[in-house]
Amino acid sequence: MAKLMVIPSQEDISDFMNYADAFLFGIEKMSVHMPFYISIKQVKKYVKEMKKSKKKLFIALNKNMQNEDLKNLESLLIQLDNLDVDGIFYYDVAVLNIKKRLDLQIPLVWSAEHLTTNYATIQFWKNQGIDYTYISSEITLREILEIREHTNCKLIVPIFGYLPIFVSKRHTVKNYLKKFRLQNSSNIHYLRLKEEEYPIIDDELGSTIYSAHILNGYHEYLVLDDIEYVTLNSFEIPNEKFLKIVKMYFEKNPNHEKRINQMLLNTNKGFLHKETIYKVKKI
Amino acid sequence: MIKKPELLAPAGDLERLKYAIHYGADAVYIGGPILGLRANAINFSFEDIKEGVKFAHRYHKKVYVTVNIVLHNKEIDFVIEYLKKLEECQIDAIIVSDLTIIEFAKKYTNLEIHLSTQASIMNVEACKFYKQLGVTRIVLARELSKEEIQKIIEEVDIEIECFIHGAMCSSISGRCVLSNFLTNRDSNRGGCSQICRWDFKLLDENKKQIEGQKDFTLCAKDLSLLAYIKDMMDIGITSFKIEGRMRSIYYIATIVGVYRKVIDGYSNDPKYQYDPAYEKVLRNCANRDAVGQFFNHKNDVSCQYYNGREEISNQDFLGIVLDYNPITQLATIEQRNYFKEQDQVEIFGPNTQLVSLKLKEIYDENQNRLKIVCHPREIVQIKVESKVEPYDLMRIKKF
Repeated sequence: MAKLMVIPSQEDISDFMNYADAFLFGIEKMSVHMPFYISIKQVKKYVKEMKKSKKKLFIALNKNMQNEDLKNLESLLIQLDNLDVDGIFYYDVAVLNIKKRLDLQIPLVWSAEHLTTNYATIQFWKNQGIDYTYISSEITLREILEIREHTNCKLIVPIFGYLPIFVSKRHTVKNYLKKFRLQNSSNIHYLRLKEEEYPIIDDELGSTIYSAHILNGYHEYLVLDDIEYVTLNSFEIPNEKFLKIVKMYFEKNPNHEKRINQMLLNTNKGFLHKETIYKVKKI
Repeated sequence: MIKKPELLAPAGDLERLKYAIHYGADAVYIGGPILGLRANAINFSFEDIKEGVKFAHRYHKKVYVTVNIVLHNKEIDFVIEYLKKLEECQIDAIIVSDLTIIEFAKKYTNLEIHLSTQASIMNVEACKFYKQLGVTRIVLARELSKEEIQKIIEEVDIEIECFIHGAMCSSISGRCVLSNFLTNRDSNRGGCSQICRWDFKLLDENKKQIEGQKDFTLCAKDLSLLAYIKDMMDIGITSFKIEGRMRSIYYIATIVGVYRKVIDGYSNDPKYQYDPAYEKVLRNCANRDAVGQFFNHKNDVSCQYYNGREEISNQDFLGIVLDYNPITQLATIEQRNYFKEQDQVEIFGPNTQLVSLKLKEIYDENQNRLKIVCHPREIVQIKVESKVEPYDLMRIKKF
């Protein structure tokens, strides 16, 4: 059964240590849509803690890199490689190219969000030297299982939490407030459409919108064999509740799915059982 | 003399392909029967592709086919056969983002490979990676400034293609699935339902509505780099791309025609200054505001649109010239929008200087006098004293 990778919202992760197998953090200015960002100094501290408690530490460097980021990226990769971090989630292929060029040993997680959708492309990247793929949240459970069957790449599947569904370099909220001379300094806003509310963050790197519902794939988690990790994302979930949820995933009790749904009232299954519309015509 | 870049135009079907080439495109990009990102477009059959390629090659122009879908498992088995069929059509390149398609194209065909903007390439390292995979051209992300593009061109020996005109994604290409989540249509597989143009209510952290004069939207203004064409030529961009495979022949002819004149102007005379009226022509054609976006570092409120979906459909385009009889001075026109006697119109074309006239005489196919022309694709004749040609277009005179 898949191990649990927690994406925390706070520095203190001690409460999660009993249940999680791995943790994923962002790095300031080099990661997008992470609920918590740390500095390279803090990485050092966490590496120590993880080694002691036999947990794994993953770092997301998942923004689209621009030329001006490359120097910092290279320096970070060297440092993270030296620190023996357990894996880097990346979106931009610059990360892979630098790793190859410098012959770094740090494992890479191909994390191109919505593009990690088929086994052939995953195998291609595996052959290029990556170690894991973070599977798209827009494919079905059946497709995930097919991917599992057809590639020897280690897989990570998003199984719980709000899902990032839009990433932009544009400051969409700040622009709107400026345009209509409105004052508001919230770091989070919501876009309402009919009954649905989509969280939106507009920070230094631009805007990210999240799904209106929290993915809760508890039952699916129980049947996902040979998957390396599933991720549980704490974004916008109160810490106390999130801790209970991680514990329930740890306990692997089929009745917990219902309990989680009752606790949050805003869950769904995402695309795990629903295909998006696209018909392949016959050639 | 500055090196002349390629002017690359969209074409949703054969008719638009022919217009794009007649109006000055050096190459066109089209969607094939499957695996493109415009599932709702008519797209080209293999027979259409062959005919389009034959037509383009006759004028020494090129045809690229988009195969830029994000593959799912079930499509993998189609890819090799599809690529081989495209190769048989003698196309000049495929535009791709999924690495499996690149791998299969390299292994099973001799097709030239261009990397789609869906791959969101923004830096030198990424370009180097794709170059060693055998990609010959990279369509850069639309979020780059002039200096960032220049650095890539200086450091990587690969053809660079950049968008110069058309609609913009509000997100980084490939990183938006709003369409999937709000309408169940897959944005990375040709189903984008343009949620970024929808209106939303903006709420604060306590979920209290923030009241602006208009609703919140993610909508970006269009891109227009007309004012920066010389800069783009100076830094050595290989290909200038116009967005819009779903656009009309009028749009394509107008936009291509303007950029053709400006590129030729700068190529032939370094002191050339384009006619500012071109900016009005471009703006009027799309009925949307257009700005330089990221190219000139403007990632601010001036790039956003707050008019919701209120754009009025463009009715300026009146008809197509099918023929001209210099003896009777009658031009045969296929109607595309309502017009009438006494309207002030203009006829323009790739070889026709702008002809302005008042419609004094209109006849139907049986030479009966008409006051109005209101039937779609109705064939009529109008009196035009100056010579006009097939492929010329007639529009309402606005300026």
